[in-house]
Amino acid sequence: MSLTTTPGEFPTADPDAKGARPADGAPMQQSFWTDGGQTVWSWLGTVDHKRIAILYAISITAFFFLGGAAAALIRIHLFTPHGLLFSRDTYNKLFTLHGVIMVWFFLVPSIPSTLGNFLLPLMIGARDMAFPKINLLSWYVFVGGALLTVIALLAGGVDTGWTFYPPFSTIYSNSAVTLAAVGVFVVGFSSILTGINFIATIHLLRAPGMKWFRLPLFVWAMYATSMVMILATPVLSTSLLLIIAERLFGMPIFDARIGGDPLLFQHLFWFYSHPAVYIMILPAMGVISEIVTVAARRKVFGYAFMVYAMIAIAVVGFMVWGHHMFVSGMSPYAALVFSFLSFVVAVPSAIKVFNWTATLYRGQITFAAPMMYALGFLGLFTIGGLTGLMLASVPIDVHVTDTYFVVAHFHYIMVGASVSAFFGGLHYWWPKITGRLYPEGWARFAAILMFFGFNFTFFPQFIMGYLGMPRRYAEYPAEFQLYHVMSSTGAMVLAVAYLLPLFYFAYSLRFGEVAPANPWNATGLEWTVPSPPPKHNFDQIPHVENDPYEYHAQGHAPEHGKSIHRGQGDGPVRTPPT
Amino acid sequence: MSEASATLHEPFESATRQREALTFGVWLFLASELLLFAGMFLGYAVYRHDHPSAFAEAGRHVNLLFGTINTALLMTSSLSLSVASRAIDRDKPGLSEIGVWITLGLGLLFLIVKGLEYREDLDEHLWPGATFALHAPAARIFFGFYWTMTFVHACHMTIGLGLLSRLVWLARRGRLRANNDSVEATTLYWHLVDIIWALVFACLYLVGR
Amino acid sequence: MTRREQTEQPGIWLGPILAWAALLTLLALNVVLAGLPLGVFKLPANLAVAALQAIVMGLVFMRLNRASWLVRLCAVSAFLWISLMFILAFADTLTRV
Repeated sequence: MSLTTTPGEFPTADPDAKGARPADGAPMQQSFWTDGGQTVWSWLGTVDHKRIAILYAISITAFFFLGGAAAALIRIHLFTPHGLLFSRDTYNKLFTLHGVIMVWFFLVPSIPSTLGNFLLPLMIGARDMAFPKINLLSWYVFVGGALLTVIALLAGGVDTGWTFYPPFSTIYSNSAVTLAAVGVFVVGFSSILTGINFIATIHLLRAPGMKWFRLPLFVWAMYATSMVMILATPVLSTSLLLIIAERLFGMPIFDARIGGDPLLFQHLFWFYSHPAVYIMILPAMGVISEIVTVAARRKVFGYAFMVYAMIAIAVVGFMVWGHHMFVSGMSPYAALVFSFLSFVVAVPSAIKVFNWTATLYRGQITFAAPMMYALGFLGLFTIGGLTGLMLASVPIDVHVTDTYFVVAHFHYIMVGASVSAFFGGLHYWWPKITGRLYPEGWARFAAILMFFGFNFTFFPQFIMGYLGMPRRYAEYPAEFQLYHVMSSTGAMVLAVAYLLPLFYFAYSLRFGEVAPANPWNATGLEWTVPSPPPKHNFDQIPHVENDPYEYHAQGHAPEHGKSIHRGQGDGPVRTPPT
Repeated sequence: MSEASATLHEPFESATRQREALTFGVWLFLASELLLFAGMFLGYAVYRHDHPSAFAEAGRHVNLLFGTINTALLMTSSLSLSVASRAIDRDKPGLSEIGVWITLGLGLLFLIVKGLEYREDLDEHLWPGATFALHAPAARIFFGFYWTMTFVHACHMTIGLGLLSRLVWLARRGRLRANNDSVEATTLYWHLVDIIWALVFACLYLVGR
Repeated sequence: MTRREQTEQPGIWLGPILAWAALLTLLALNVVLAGLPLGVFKLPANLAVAALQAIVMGLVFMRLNRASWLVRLCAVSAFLWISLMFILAFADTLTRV
C-alpha cells in the first residue's frame, strides 16, 4: 500500500534545509485544489472538508483585516489625550466593530474552521467529516450571519461594545443593535454545526488502530473545543434572542423598572462568553503541542495529562463565568465561589505550560518559523494566564475592573497566544495545504516582529490599567499619554507583522519551492499523504500502529548536540503497514 | 439489517456506522437545543422566585384549556411519529407514511390552536405593551416569557413541520425506506420539541391556579 | 443497538401506546394538581410530573432505553450542563445582598 508519492524517501530532518527535494521536481500533481473542478461553483458547492477550510480561511482573513483596521484606527486616535480622529460616538462604534468582528468572526472560527477543518479528517485517517453537507452549510451560515452583522456595524454602527449589556443595549442605545445581534445569533449556529461535525467525526471515523490515546493532541483540542461550542453557544443564542425580543417586540425581560434583572443577561452571556475564551485558546494549545514536539523532536511530555488537562479546561471553564461580574452587584458569596473556581481552572492550563516546557527539555530544538511562533505563544500565554489569576481574585479585580489592565490581559490570551498559535499553525501546515514552502527568512522575521510588536502594544496597557486608565474612553488624562503613545506605536509594528505573511504567503503560492509530502519529517497521518492532499485524502484508509509523536524510542531521547539522521531510528515516521 | 437499506454516503464505509453517526449528530444538536431553552427557563425560574405573586396573578390569565388541548395534541403526535419511525425500521413504509401524515396533521392543529390562543390573549391585552391589562409590574415579565417561549417553541414546531413535509414528499416518491435516517432524525427532533413543550406547559400554564 | 433490535424485535405498537397513555395520565394529573391547594408544594409537584413526562418521552419515544452509550452520554451531559447553569446562576440570585 502506498500512501505517499515518495514512498520510503523522507526529506532531511532539519527544517532549515527543507525543500531541498522538490518532490522529484514533478509538477503539482492532482490534488484537492485541481481535482473536483476549477469553476467557482466547484468551490461554492464543494463538500470537501479541505476546500471548505480554504473558504473559511479566505473569509476569516477578510474579517481579521477588517477588525484589525478598526483596531489600528483606535490606536491612531489615542495618540493624543483628546483623540485625533473621531467623535466619542464614532469611537464607541469603532471598538464595538473591532470586538464583535474579532471575537465572533475571526477568533472563534479561526483555528477550528480552517486548520481544524482541513486537518481533522487527515489526522484521524478519514476521507471527510462525518457530515460534509452540514460542513458546507456551516460556512454559508457563517458568511450570511457575519455579513448581516458587518452591515449593521458599518452602515448603522453599534455602540454597546461586543458584550451587548442591557439596559443600554435594550432601552437606551439608538444604534443598529438588533441587526447586529441577529447576525451573531445566526453565526452561532455555524459554530454549533462545526462542533457537532467535529465530535461525530472524531468518535466515528477514526482509522483502524487510531485509539483514543493515539490521537494527536490537536485532535483532542478540537474535541474539547467542540464540546464547548455545542454546550455554550446555544446560551449565547438565548441571551441575544432575549435582547432582540426586548428591543424589537418590547418584551420587558431585563427591564429593572418593573423588577427585571439586567444581571441575568450577564449570567447568560458569560455562560457562553467565558467558555468562548476556551474555544479560542484550546485549539491554539493543540497547534502548539504539534509544533513543539516536532521542533524539539521529542515525544510530548505527559501525553495523557495533556489530554486530561484540555478536557478539564473545557469542563471547568463552564463554571467560572462569574468572574466577569465581580463588581456588577452580584452576590459576594457567589463571587467567592466563582473566584475559587477560576483559580482551579488555572491548574490544567499550568500543567500544559509545564509539559510543553518539559517537552523542550534536552530536545533537538530547531527554530523554524512555526517554532518561533510557538515560543512566542508560551511566553505570551504565561503572562496572560498569570494576569488572569490576578483578575480572578476579587480584591485585585475590583481595583482594575474595566481598565486597560483587563484589556491587556485578554489580548495577551486571545491575540498574543491564540493568534500567534494560529500563525504558527498556518506556517507549519502551509506546505501541506498549498504544496509550497513559504520563505523561511521572512517568516522568522515576521514572527519576531509580531512578538515584539505585540508586547510593545499591550504591556504598557497593563501599567496604565493598573494606574487607573479605564477602557472604552475616547479621551484620557494627559498623564497617560506616554503609555498610549507606546501602545499605539507598538500597534503599528504589530500591523506590519500581521501584513507581512499576507505578502510572502501569496508570493509562495506562485514562486515558493514545491513542498515534499513531509517537509518537517513529522509524525502524524497528515504527513503521509502528498502535499497538497488528494481529494479523497487516502487511497486506502491507513492502519495506525504507533502512538503519536514517536520521534524517538520510549526512554531514548536523542542527546542534545547529536544530529539526527533520517532512517536511523531517531525519527521513526509513522509509516503505514505494507 | 434494516439500516442497510439507507443510502451510503461518502466518508462512511458501513451503513451501521453511518446510522450511528446520524443519531449521535442529531443528539448533539438536541443537546444544544436543550441548552438554548434552558437559558430561557433559567430566566423564568429566577423571576418566578423573585416575583411569586405577580407571576401567580399573570399565570391565571393564561388559557389552561388551550394549553391542555395542545399538550394532548403534541403527545398524540409523538405517538404517531414514534410508530412511524419504528415501522420504517421494520420495513413497513406504508404504515410509516400514515404515521407521518397523522403527525403532520396534529402538528398543524397545534399551531392553529396556538393561533386561536394568541388571538384571545391579544384581545385580553396580555401583550406587555402600552395597553397591558394587568397591574403588577412584574406580570409584564411573565408575559415577556410567555410570548418569547411559546413563540420560539412555535418556530421549532414550524421547522419540525417542514421536516415532516419533506418525509411526506419522500414517501410519495417511494423513497422513505432509502431515507430511513431522515425519519430517525425528524423523529428525534420532534420528540425533543414535545419534551420542551411539556416543560413550557408546566411552567406557564399551571401557575396560580 | 442494531444487534439487539434483531434479537428482541419489540413491537411497533406496545411501547409507544403505553407511553402515550402514561403521558396523558400524567397530563391530567398535572392539571388536577395545579388546581389543588398545595401551597409551596404545588410547583415542585408540577415540575416533577413534567419531568416524568420528559423521562417517558426520552426513554420510550426517543429510545434512550436502547440507545448507544454515546447517545446517552450526550443526553446526560446536556442535563449536567443545564444543572451547572442553574446551580451557579442561583448561587448568585439567591444570596444577593
